[in-house]
Amino acid sequence: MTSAGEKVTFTFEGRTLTARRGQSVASALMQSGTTVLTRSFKYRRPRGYTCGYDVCGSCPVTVDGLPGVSACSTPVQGGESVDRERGWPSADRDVMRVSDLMAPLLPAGFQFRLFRSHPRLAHLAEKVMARVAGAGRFPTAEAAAATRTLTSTARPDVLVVGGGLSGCAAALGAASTGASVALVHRGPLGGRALARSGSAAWEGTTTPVAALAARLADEVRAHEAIDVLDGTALSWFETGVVPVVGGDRVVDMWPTQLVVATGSYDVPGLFPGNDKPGVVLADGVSKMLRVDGVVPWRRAVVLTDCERGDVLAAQLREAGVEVVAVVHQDGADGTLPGPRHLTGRIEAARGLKTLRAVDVRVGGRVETFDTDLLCVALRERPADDLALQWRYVSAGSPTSVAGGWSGAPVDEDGLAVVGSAAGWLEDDPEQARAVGEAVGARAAGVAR
Amino acid sequence: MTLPGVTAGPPASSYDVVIVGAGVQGLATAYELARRGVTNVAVVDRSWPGGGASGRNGEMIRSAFSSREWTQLFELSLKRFAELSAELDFNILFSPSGYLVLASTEEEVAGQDAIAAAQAAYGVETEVLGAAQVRKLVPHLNPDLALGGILQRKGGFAHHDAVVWGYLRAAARAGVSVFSGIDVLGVTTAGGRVTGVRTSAGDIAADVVVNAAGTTSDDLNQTVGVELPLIKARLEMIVTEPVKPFLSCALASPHMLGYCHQTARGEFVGGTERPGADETDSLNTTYHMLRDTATKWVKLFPSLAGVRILRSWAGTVSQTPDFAPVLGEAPGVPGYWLSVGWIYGFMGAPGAAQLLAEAITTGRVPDTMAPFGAQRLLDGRLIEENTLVVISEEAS
Amino acid sequence: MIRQPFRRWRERTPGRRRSAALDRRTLVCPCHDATLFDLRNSWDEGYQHPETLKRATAVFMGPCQGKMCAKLVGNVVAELQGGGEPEQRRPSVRPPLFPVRMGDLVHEDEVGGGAA
Ligand SMILES: Cc1cc2nc3c(=O)[nH]c(=O)nc-3n(C[C@H](O)[C@H](O)[C@H](O)COP(=O)(O)OP(=O)(O)OC[C@H]3O[C@@H](n4cnc5c(N)ncnc54)[C@H](O)[C@@H]3O)c2cc1C
Ligand code: FES
Ligand code: FES
Repeated sequence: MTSAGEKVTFTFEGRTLTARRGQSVASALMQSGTTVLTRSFKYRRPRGYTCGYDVCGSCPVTVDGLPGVSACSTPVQGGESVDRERGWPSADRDVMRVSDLMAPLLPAGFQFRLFRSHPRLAHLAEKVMARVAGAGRFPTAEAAAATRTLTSTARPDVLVVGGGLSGCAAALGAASTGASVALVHRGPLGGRALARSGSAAWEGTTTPVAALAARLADEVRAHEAIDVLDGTALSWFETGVVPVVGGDRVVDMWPTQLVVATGSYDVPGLFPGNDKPGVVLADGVSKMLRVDGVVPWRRAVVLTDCERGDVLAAQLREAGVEVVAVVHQDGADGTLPGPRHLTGRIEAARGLKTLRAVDVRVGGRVETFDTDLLCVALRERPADDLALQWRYVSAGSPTSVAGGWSGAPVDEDGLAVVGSAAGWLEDDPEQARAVGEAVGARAAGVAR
Repeated sequence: MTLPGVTAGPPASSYDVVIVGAGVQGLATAYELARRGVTNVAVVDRSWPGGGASGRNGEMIRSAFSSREWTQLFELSLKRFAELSAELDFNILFSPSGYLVLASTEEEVAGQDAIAAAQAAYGVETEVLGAAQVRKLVPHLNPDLALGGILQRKGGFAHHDAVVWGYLRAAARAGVSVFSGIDVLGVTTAGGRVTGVRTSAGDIAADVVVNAAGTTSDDLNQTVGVELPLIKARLEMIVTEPVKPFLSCALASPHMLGYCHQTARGEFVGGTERPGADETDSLNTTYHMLRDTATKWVKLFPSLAGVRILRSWAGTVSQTPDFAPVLGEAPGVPGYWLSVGWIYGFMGAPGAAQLLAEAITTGRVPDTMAPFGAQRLLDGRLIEENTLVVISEEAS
Repeated sequence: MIRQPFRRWRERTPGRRRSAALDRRTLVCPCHDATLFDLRNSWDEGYQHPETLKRATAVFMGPCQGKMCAKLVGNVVAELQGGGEPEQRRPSVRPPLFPVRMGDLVHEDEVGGGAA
């Protein structure tokens, strides 16, 4: 048995790469200079590491014959064989790349206009499209067979979905009331907080959130009444079941109370070239630097509309990355000494395959910065999918729910939402724990 | 809830024809009416056009059934599908890649020749495939379940939204008005004859009202005392991440109660059913059907076990005891026409709309349409069709 | 086949043409390569409801199921509506929350139909 952190090797498209066991496949690839991880679906635009948390779908690779494995969230084991999925002859040099001259001919809906009077041609074109545009790979029989899992049933008093700072705190709160608790989490317990700066109050002292998240994660793991599952909740279904799909098992959860602590998603910026490899979302940057311990960038521009810009700039500088500018698109002033603070917007992210330069419009002029990282540190949004689903499913129809663009409930009978998922602006683990306690007590009232 | 082709502003106070429901049936009927010169037509929908089953179905198209009634109606449709892109000036992405009805048991294999013979007799070209041919056509199938099949090469699938949008735009161009976000609350009559509809946007007068309201068509019938044995049933489907092309044709498995195809984008789209109807109008998906679907498709295509499901969704249909649609004027209510009870209403729409429009404009019921009249259900004369991918509780 | 889009492109003034070219490189939904241009264009055509805009441009339907594009689509819709919050709710959130392998859901004894 080898331990995490030990040097191992794996194969990447025929080459042998060295990595630390446990670091993400994406970080190992980027360390070796690979920035294009896949090609986009329609225009075959190069894509790379973006979100870091298995959300954006920009890093699918095939591992030992199994396609669609997220490189950013899959630890290197040692001995595996990794391949990129799209692009011919390779993701680096894809002859199918639709040039910017061609792209205007293919706007959304173009397929409804093409060949409408030539059905045969349309059919042929579709088959050709399926070959070239149609993605990826097909699993090998062995890889497919390995996915079978066993199903069991559990009836916890409280199910907490999401094991970040808030989720762990809520689980501890619920367990302190004597309730039986299950906690589902994708990836390392502690979540995004493990890579974040900042601090939060906990039991009378102000503690860095990363350390606190690690500590609460330890407490959760050690707690007898909390069952921790690594995996994803599928959904909240109308019968009340919340199935959890983990690495090697499926657990059909029938919780009395559901706590949604699914955290937040980073929000991308909206500017030309915003999908280029090298344009990376804030949490993805933090995770690369602070969890994977890899510094694949040399110079950075940070885009922000809140205090996260300064936080990320500080993290980057600490890791030895030169921060050449912090662009405040909301007009706020940055406070960090060192980098230039600009008020403006990104005019374009440029570079043929990966980011080479960022054009920033400041008032009437455009300034160009040579850089290989554009860190997008905009205000994050609640990861509200599960809470929204609760509302849709309760209504019996996903189309008959009012409530605006987000509209996720925060507290309903049987449901509580805590932390960033509920739109809390600050980390408040004590508040999350208090909600957990209340929910635990509520479950006791229902169940016993 | 607009789309290109949807009319802005409120409906007028009267039209020659009001069609309730802007699904594929309602819109195709409106288009066919306009083609026959009846353009003072309003299509009224409470949702967006295509927001019902027409935008949630499996997109599969065939005419290879076993009964004369089904075969002839759907053959007419299939022919129309091949013409529609040019005629509507909108590529509906009809893909005649073939439609394979898989045989997975010796019993099913034994029945194939008779079915194919009947199809040939009704003018539908099909081929009976042996195990080796089926495996050659669909190499990733589990060989234990690929014992044979009936292939209709001209069948296949089309993009459901594109069909709806194509009809919508063409109907609008021809002068039809299509309204979204308006609820039809009831059909109005005087002296036993239809006089129009009551809607959330006021009354609309019309001598002819067509019920193409999909799942809730029975509710509308109730408002004029038309009692038909219609039930609401939910169907569910999944779509996976895109993978390399591995399935070239549309495939139905009566044994598994499933149907599937692979899109040009590479997504695998499939649905399965269980015996008996899931009687609800809820659009939620269920956990047991998600597992049913996954289990059956992995059984048929073992490699799919390694492919990720991105999304599941549900749609609802109205269903008759013989699973055949009801087409024609409602018994006892002159002026009230029905295109309801569709479970294969996507593939059936182009043909049915043409027949219905012909009947409405000429007053004569075409032979192909006649067997689908509502009276059969009241008299208990059910249409017998053996190749449907759905079975009732009793039959299972 | 290319005449119509080309004509439309030429008809635009140089300024609009330039901004259209930039909009084409601004990805709203990276999963399906739906650009800012696509959204504006589909909106102008008449797809002016989140559910219909979704079906016209394929936003929300990629591997991330809207986790990346939901906020941006909301912002664009708000802008196209003339400011404020989007008037309509966002398109539905369907199971599964994150992609799952079909093999993980295989359940031998829970199947209905002839195969059971
Ligand atoms: C999951 C699934 C898979 C399917 N697969 C296939 C397939 O592969 N092939 C196939 O041929 N068929 C398939 N079907 C069936 C097919 O989708 C339907 O039969 C067909 O779409 C019916 O069309 P429609 O226009 O009658 O109804 P709908 O599309 O449901 O349209 C009815 C419309 O009426 C509106 N409406 C209802 N009541 C009112 C009212 N009172 N006032 C105003 N508006 C109202 C609704 O909003 C709706 O838009 C499938 C169905 C489902 C659910
Ligand atoms: S999913 Fe891996 S970078 Fe986003
Ligand atoms: S970015 Fe739109 S679905 Fe993923």
